[in-house]
Amino acid sequence: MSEGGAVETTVETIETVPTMEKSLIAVIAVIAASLLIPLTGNKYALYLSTKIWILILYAIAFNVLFGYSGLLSFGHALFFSGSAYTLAILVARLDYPLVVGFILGIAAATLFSAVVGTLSLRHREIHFAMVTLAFSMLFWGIVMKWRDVTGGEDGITGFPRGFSMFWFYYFTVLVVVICSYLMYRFVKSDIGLILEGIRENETRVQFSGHSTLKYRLYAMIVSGTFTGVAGVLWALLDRTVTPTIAHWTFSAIPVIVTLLGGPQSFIGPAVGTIVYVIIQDLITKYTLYWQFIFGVAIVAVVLFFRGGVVGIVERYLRGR
Amino acid sequence: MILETQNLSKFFGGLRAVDDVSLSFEEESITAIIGPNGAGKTTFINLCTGLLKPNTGKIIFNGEDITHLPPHKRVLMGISRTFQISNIFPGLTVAQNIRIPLLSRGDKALSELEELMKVFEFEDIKDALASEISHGDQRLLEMAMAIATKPRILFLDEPTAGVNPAEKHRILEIVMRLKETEKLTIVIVEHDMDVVFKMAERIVVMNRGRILADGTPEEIKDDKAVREVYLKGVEI
Amino acid sequence: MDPGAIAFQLIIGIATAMLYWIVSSGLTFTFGVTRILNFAHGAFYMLGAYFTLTFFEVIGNYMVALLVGSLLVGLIGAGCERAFISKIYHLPVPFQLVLTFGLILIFEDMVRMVWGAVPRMMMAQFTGSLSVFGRTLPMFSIYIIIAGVLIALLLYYVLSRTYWGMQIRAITADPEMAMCCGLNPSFLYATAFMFGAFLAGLGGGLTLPISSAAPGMGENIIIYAFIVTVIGGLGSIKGAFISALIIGIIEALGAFFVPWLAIALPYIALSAVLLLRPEGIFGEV
Repeated sequence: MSEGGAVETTVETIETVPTMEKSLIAVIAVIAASLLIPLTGNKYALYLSTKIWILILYAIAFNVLFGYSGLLSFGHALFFSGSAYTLAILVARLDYPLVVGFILGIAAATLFSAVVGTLSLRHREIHFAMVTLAFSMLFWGIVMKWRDVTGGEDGITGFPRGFSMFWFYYFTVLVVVICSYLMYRFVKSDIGLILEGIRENETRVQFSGHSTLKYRLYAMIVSGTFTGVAGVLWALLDRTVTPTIAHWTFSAIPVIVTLLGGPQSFIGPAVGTIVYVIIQDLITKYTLYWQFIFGVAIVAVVLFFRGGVVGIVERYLRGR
Repeated sequence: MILETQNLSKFFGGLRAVDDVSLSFEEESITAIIGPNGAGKTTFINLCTGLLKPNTGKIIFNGEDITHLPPHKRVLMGISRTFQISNIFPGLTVAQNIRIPLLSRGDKALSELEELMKVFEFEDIKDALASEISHGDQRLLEMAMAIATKPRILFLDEPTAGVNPAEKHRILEIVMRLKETEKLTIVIVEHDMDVVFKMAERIVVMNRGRILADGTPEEIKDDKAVREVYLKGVEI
Repeated sequence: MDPGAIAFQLIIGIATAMLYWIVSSGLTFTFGVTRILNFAHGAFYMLGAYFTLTFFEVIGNYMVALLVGSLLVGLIGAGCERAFISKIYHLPVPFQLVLTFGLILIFEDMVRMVWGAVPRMMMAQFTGSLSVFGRTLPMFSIYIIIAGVLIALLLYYVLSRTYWGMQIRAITADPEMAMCCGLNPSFLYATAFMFGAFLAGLGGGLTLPISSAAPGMGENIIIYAFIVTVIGGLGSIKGAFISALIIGIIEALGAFFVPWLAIALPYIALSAVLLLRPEGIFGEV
């Protein structure tokens, strides 16, 4: 936590060209293979993989802020649930068409991220995490108390999905792939480079003639907006929204999966998500205490495998 | 007069790090600020470049009051700096390090990347991570980043601290060359008296936040008060 | 406007504030010394409640159970510091936060394994009430206010009058200098963590008379502790005390004057402080 100076990064930053090509091939192969899942007719597998895709989008969107800009948000549940609740309220309570709910839900996440981004601009590290956490919990409080609109603890049900589960899966894959591609272009652009500069050394970015506040706000809005896309998809998947997705423990999910997968590569969070959901699913089959096992896994990752799964694979591929 | 401070003061608790300093710098001049540790040299640079806010006093750049401007606005006006401890982006490549300051002047400026690489002799290491190049190259990289913002005045805070003699020579050579080609005004804080007396046209001696002496190298050499506090025991 | 009603709300507010203060004091104390923001503080709070409950069932004396239970939490805190936290002082903040979050998950499930997932209530304590301004004030409010003041005095005494407290202040102010003077940082960090965990445990045990012990209880209180410590200035004990008072009183008066806004008031206070003084009321940087 030295300020300004040359901070030693603990994880490798640059994806070397051969591993990039390999990972691109791997990504395409995984996407292609996953397109076959609905054809198996296994309803549970279909549900679980739709959920994984949505959480992948959530994690990648989170990591635009965290991995690339170095800002740890502990309040992304606000953008996720903000968009999901906006959709549910508009469609179930006010009878708006689903498409309107979908678009305005995402817009709500954009708005929330702009507001929280502005209020938290001057904070970094722990303070930034705390401020984002606090605002997301404010929203959680409102959701819990304002029963007439949000349904309190019971949440909101009674809105359509617009697709059968079969087609909703393909819709989700399409949306997640497009959004991920857009975010990839964003982080590899010059704005993305400046954000990486902010992560590495914020003072030096200021002394390079850039308003770091402006770029941090960009990152926050991009991250929040795409998190909102994940939120509306989530609402549609279950056709229900509940306060669980507004609670701060839901903000911890992208943090954990990102560290699990590796924050310094674009697909790290996606890999972490897949590992997270599948392990959770497997563990809960055998024991009630999956949280315990996850806790141990998280502690182990922090203490011993800070590059995450992707870091381990990269090291293996490079033969060291 | 390109930059001028008027009665500038900065206090840390009871400590007067910079105490009522009024200095001005001529265009395309090269000034060295010297003084014992804790004299307020770095604090003075931090005030001029916007890293710190002064308690009292004004900073005028090119006739404009910039006392309350944030660092990045000052950079865009033409005030640039390097830091005492190499202040670079360790996890980015050399080329990316220089690209970031270039971007502050818009996409057009990116065409200068090649030229800067040549001036600083970075062609062979442009894709290396900044954390992996030599210490001397890191100091030069920071200077290249400062130059990339196209400054009119450049503050160098101990540019040769901790580098070996050969690299020191190379750094100073590049500084002098840039001063000519870029028409720079340079303010340098340096402990190496050899360097100071060879390079500077003017020397400002600070002690305990105040200006002790201000003059040409010859004048400073003969100044009694300066000898007393600072040059004692140093061969000139 | 009834002045009696307002005065009554003030007392309620101070009682709430004292609970926030007790939980935040340990959080901000450990942060000040170790620069680790401990999410698991909420887990220590939960453990304090469960230990007190169990010891009470064995011993039958609430005060003794509270003390023994909290001391045990302190020991667990020291154990965590030695086993995990001491390995992450040099890591970037996200890793620190996530590791302590992992500890919460572990402790919560351990509590479920030992005590079950169903909330547990302690046999009634401090059930009486007082008549204040023509209203009934639960004895619990009086007792929590007394406890809060006692803990403030304890902290003041420990930090300013004991040798350990002086060492702690030295290592907080300048770790390198303190080490040069021969202080043992490992010992100080571990004991600081122990003391912080002890305070969290006290907080958990102290709430037992009015609320049940439940596995998720730490997750919600930790948010209030964060708000209080950030407003007060991370690491500032004085700041935590004052900001707990501000939050508690704002909440209580808010519930009286603007009930529909009450839940948002702590967050509004937080935003206001952060915008005006990002480092908190008593914070440095």
